[in-house]
Amino acid sequence: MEILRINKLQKSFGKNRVLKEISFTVNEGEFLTLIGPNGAGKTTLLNCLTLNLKWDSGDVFYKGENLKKVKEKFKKNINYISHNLFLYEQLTPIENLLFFSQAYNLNKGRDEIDKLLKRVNLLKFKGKKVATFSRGMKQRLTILRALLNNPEIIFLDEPFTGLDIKASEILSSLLFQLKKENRSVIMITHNITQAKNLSDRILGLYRGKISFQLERENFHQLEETFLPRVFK
Amino acid sequence: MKKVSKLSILTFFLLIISLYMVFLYAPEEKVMGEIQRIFYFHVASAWLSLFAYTVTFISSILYLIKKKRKFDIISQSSAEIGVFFTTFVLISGPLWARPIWNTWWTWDPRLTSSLALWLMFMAYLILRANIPDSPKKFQVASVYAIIAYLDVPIVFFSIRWWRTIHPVVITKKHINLDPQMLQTLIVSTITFTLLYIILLREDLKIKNLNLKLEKLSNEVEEILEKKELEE
Amino acid sequence: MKNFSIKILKKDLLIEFREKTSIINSLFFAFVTLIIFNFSFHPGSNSIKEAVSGILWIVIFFSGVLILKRGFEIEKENHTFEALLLIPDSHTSIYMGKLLSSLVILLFIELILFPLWVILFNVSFQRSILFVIFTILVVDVGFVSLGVVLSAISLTFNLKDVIFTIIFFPLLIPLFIGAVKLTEISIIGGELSSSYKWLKLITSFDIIFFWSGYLLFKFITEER
Repeated sequence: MEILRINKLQKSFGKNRVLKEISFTVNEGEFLTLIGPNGAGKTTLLNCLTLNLKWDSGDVFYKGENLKKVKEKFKKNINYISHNLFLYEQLTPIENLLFFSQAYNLNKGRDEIDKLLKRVNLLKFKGKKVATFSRGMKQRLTILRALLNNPEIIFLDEPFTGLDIKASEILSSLLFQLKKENRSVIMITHNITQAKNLSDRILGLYRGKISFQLERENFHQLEETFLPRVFK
Repeated sequence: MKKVSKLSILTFFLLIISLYMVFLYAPEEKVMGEIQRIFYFHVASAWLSLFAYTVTFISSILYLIKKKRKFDIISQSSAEIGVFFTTFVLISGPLWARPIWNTWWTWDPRLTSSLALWLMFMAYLILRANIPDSPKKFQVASVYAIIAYLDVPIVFFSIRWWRTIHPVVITKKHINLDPQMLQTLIVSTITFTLLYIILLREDLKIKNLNLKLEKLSNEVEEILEKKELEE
Repeated sequence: MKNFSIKILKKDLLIEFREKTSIINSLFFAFVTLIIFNFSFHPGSNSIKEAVSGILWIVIFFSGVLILKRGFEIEKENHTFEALLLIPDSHTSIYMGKLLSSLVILLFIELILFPLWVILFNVSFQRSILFVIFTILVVDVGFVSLGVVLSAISLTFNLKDVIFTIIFFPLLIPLFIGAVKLTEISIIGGELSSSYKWLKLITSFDIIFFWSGYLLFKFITEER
């Protein structure tokens, strides 16, 4: 089942045309990865899809409905993990998660939050301020934050940057779990190995256009044939 | 060269007529003398700046509803013209005040209100100047223009009451308008209003040409890029 | 929705009173300006009597600007503003939440600033102190109603602080005049009728800008 259809999306910043008639679809439960050089428009695309940026023309359909008309319903069912972590550094993990769960009108108790923290090995740090956390710990915490509203679609912007090997492993196992839970994931990454591991489909972006789409069974061609197309 | 529009020609002649009326037709005011003649331009500009801000207000609301770029352009142009005429009010006021009241600046309620208006809409233009063009900018600028305009009546009342509570040094300027003076005022106000329309129209033309230019250069860039990709 | 704005209020207060630095900064800023103003008068001069109300409100407005800016800086530092906007129907809650938290912090600062002002400038009141407190309250509401909108603007476009002041203060002229006049009336005394007039002015300022902020805020926060 198709969950998102992007149709001829265009966006420019002043003179600079960042997205040029981008079209693709995302299926339910699909793990989609966007790769491409810096400035290809990946983050802009994600910012448009998370309703953070206004696109200039084109349409996005969420389950067949025009996204512009179902914004609030859409927001209820998505979440976003950007490279900015969206966490209050001055607060503890519990306070952060409580605040965001209340924001979605879910009254999660402290026990539930504890359980969540345990899932990502953060329980023993629950009383510490987020400011004292390492990048990897924050990353895990923000994944919990993004899962609070039980989203159908999760957007991830370069989740692997700034992580050491151990932390990337933890992260990728968490992402595998998302896949098992049948959520749709749209991820940007520069980490080709992780992209091949996790994705069902890889989209290459070059200068605001989709340069290739690759299904899982053809991933072996990625490095030789397709990557050079976007990383010239 | 393009043809000059009928409106421009009409305004040109009206300008000459109003100059004639202001300086020759209208009688000299007994108390204030010749300097009173500045009144016809002073009042006309004051009226016009209020009119211009009203246009900005309405077209800002329209922008928020319709999200059409042209409404934002009208808001900006009209505010620019409004600020220009308020500046004229603020200059002609002291010029008038100096020989009459022997002081350049009095915190007279009308002059002070004009100053406050000038500050508010200058702030609007400064805000615009500090943000690169984007639909979001036009939206926020519209919000600011609406807020500023809503503030106008409150500003007027507050400044009037502020002055009247303290002893007012200068009594209300009392101008007995005789019919010829009134006619002159009416003609000069109409002339200024037409002038406003022309200025707005020309400004919109320039801004639209700029937009077109931008669009064209984008298209050229795109074509060049396509060529580059093909090679 | 009401619920969420209270959560934002609580969260902001928790952060501000845990960090303390920004509150102390604003407070100390207010204190320093208050002292500095004192030096523009001859010791024991009478002209200071006419200026005290103005001084109080200039100091409050300037430290208020710091508080308003801080309210959104919390979100900017943590990049949480985007997270708040990801939440469905959050625009008006953000407006209300930020309005309340700025108001509470401003009141907290005034709670300390006000007695200092009374002591340092030797102010004595002709009217009941409740009248003064009421004045401060209504003026603060207008100040934050408008201020939250403008600081959201300056956050969205990363405007410099000076631009924030440029776009904010001209709009505050009527509020400032009203605040100073009411304070003057409570110090010098004066007709009750004129204080009603000013109260009416300030309340209409409050109502107009609370509603316009409430209705227009989404145009500022919705997607760029």
